[in-house]
Amino acid sequence: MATTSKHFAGTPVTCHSFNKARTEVAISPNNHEVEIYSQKGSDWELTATLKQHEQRVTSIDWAPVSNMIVTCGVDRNSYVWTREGNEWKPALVILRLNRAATCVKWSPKENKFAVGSGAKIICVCYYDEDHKWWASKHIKKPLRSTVLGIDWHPNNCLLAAACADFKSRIFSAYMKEIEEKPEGCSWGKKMPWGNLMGEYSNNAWAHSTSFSPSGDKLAWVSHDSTVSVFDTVGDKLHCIKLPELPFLSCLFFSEQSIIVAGHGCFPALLNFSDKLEFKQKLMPKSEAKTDSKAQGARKMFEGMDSRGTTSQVKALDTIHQNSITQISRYSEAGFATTGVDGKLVIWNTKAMSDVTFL
Amino acid sequence: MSTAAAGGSALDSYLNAVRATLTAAMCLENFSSQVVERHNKPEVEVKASKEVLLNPVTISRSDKERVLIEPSINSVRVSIAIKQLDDVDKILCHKFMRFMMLRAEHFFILRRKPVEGYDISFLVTNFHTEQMFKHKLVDFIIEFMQAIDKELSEMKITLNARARTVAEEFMKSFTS
Amino acid sequence: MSKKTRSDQFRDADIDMYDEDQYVDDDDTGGDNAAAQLADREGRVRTLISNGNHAGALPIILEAPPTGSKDKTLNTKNISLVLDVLTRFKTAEIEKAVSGLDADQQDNLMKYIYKGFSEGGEKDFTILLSFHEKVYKLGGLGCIMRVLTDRKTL
Repeated sequence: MATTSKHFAGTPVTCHSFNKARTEVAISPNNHEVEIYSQKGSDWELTATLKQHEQRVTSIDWAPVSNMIVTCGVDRNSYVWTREGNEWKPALVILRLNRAATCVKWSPKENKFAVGSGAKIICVCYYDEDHKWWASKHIKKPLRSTVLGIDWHPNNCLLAAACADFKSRIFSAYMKEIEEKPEGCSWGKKMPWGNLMGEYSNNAWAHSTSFSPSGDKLAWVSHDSTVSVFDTVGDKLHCIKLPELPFLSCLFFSEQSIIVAGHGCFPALLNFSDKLEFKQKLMPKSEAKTDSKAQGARKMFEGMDSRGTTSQVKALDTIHQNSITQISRYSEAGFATTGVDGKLVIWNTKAMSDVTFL
Repeated sequence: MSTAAAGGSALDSYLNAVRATLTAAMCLENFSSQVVERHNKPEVEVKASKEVLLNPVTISRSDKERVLIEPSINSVRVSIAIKQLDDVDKILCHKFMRFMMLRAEHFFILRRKPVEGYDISFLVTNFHTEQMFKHKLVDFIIEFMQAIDKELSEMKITLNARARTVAEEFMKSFTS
Repeated sequence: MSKKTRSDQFRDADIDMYDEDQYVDDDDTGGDNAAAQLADREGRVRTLISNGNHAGALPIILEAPPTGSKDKTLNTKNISLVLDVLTRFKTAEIEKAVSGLDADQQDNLMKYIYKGFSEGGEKDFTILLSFHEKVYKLGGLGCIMRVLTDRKTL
């Protein structure tokens, strides 16, 4: 089967994150709670609810090794949750923000995490052993608007930020308090704290950004329906204009393939070898709904009762029925998407015979 | 191309253009206010942060009949100017629109006051697109535009017929 | 009745403009030789039109739109030139002329179409609507999206 989907309640799934073994997933159903589901057979069962945020939770990240979950929300707070037996205990993070937090990600080594916010600031948080709390340092300049998406470079020091001021930037988040000085990489030799290593302009808000597995390339998607990649190897910016609705999320799946998804309600594949090209939309046929005659008559009467119409509401022919807001890596050959329709869909690229992933 | 066919397809291309632009403008997402902490406001109404607003566009069928679409990151405002040829049309349109705008809370997406220069306005926010299908919202607005014209011409005909009947009866009293 | 003892003029002051972190659009100063480019384009277009070849004039008018130029008269001249060429097309010719355009030209044409709608006047909008339909068929929703998002407006 190319895809498996789980429909959570009729509310949008704001964000999701899997644990390392992919046996559990933490999601937020568009409110101030975080729900943890465990895999039970082919279905997911609710095993825990994390209630600490006072307003909508905007982002969750589950650290694969240390098994800590970090969440952030509109209430300007962020919590780090640690598992104790069957319970999850929250620890408040001292973010010192005065606007909503929008996105959060653990660094590859899991000794720090970054939080983007509407205060035009990125907070990089680390565990302060002396005070036994999570403290943060701010990156402020030259951000001029809400940070919409962040991603870490594999070297644990560079951080990419997609911002609503039409720019994608790479900052150095090297903290001398907790780590060794990093060696130079393709983005630059010197990486002092908060240094702007690269800045790239678009014509519209940059929604999401992703480093390639090696860290040499950065991809981002922007609201003018374009996908851009900056390649440090050739020192060139590639940008492709697409005829689709804008994408909200992107993932560098391998060195040469990028998966994007957004308002069009479908994931799409792009290839990047020496230039960026659009490969295809991923719309597996096996999942297409076939309405039997009996179903059709029932739906018609249901429609007359609830909507006063005889015609059925035609479902979209994509799996997701509303915008896809997040893509995450599921496995070597798979990725997961969640969207405004309340669905979590896991895509298996090996089962998609009509698509070749480079 | 005969004028009748041209009229039909001109209306179709007008509505298709509006439909395409609306579909593009309704790509909304939840966006917390940058100005007031913990608040969430439709940015197209507040206009506090210039960078989250998009370019407003107009689609015109004629000088009097046009649609203004003002998008932003979490909301879109759609304003419609309806064709009104004479004073009777103006009065009927004004009364009809007022009737609906007074009951705006039942419509969800209707704005209580139209934007300056237009007859009726809708405000669609990300909360609406989360609860309702985007393509159905666009369908609704297009059907609304079609229905309005039909309703207004029907009302005008009824009005004229009634006026004629009243005048006839009145005149009858003078002949005996 | 109590009387206001203090002036409330401060309520109308726009303090947000003094905020350093406020986003400001970059100033586009690329309008220096826009006048010369426009005159050059106009010349080429007029020759083509007088020969009846308005399809050939289409790619030329879509070159380098003077977005962000401070000169208002330049903008109006440019827009009236573009709309002049567009209104000369017959509905049947549009599809062929538009199919030869690349992505950038399609985006520019869509921008001019929307500008034409908003200009108003006694123009015949049916031609613009036909252009919109054909360009949308080629450029898709992405093309319209780029008109909505591009900060460099005509």
